[in-house]
Amino acid sequence: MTTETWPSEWLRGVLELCVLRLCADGPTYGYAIATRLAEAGLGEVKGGTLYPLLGRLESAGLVETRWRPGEQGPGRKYFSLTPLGLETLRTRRAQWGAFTTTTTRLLSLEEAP
Amino acid sequence: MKHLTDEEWKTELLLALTGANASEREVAETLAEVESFCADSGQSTVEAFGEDPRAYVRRLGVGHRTSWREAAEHAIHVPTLLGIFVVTDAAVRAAAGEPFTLRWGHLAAAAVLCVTTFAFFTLFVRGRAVLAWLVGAAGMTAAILAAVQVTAPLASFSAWFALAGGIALMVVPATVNTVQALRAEPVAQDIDPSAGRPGTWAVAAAHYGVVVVALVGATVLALVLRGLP
Repeated sequence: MTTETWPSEWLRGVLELCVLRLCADGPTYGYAIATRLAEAGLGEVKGGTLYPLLGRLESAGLVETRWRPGEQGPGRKYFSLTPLGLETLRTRRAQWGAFTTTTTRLLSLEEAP
Repeated sequence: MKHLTDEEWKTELLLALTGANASEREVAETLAEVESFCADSGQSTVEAFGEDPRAYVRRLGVGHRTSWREAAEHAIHVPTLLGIFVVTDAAVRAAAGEPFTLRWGHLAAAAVLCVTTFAFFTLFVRGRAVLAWLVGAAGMTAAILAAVQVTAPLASFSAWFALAGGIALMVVPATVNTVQALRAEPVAQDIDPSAGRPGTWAVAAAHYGVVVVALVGATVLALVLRGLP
């Protein structure tokens, strides 16, 4: 896990796509998503950032939710991709790949002397 | 800004959700999300969700403005209020052996109650509770004054008939509300299975309570007035 801090505007741009990707692995809940994002090196994503994003994904029909009882504490809301979410993930992942390739190509140009 | 404890933060959250006119389900889900994330992460509410619960509610985008249609749905309370007026008046007349006279003041009171009920619920669901109660009290006072002061008669009939009509005005909305409450999807049970669903009798008691209280009050008032010289 990296402890590097990324510019917040980069995270804002990529967080939704990353969350969609994690939801594609099967039903998962808020804290598990935050933990996996941190383990992947994106840094700590607070609940105050994550849940509004998940709410927007749900409103857009990209994820569906289901409550399951907690083992001891409160119940947990599980998020999983809908068919539309999976289609969106595939499209945006391809776009992201092209975007980063383009950006990397530009950034790797030698600076003018 | 004062650093809120978890309980203070959650109280502020509930107030913000209520002010945003969040549905019962949105309130239950938002609170459960906060509690489960904090329990899992070991963070305080402020650490995980920020200092300002109101800002968090705005980011969530839950709740909605009350539509005219929703406020108009509260008009179901108007017959109940009219029923209380009619039952009280009719009980006193019946005890005195007098007929019940429908007056223009009764119609004026009904109109005032319609407007008052609409204004009360519109203000209340927007979090302006104090103003809602002030408007409600002013409207009730105006309705009582209209009923008492505007005495021009419209029609006259048996007080017992009026009493039955007044009871019907209260029983019909109570029955509609009870049936709706019993048919409604339990909001909290899939979020928190330990949350019990109120029983049929508890739901019925909550809605028919006002009918019973009005009948007892009207009977007592009629008996007291009858006993007076």
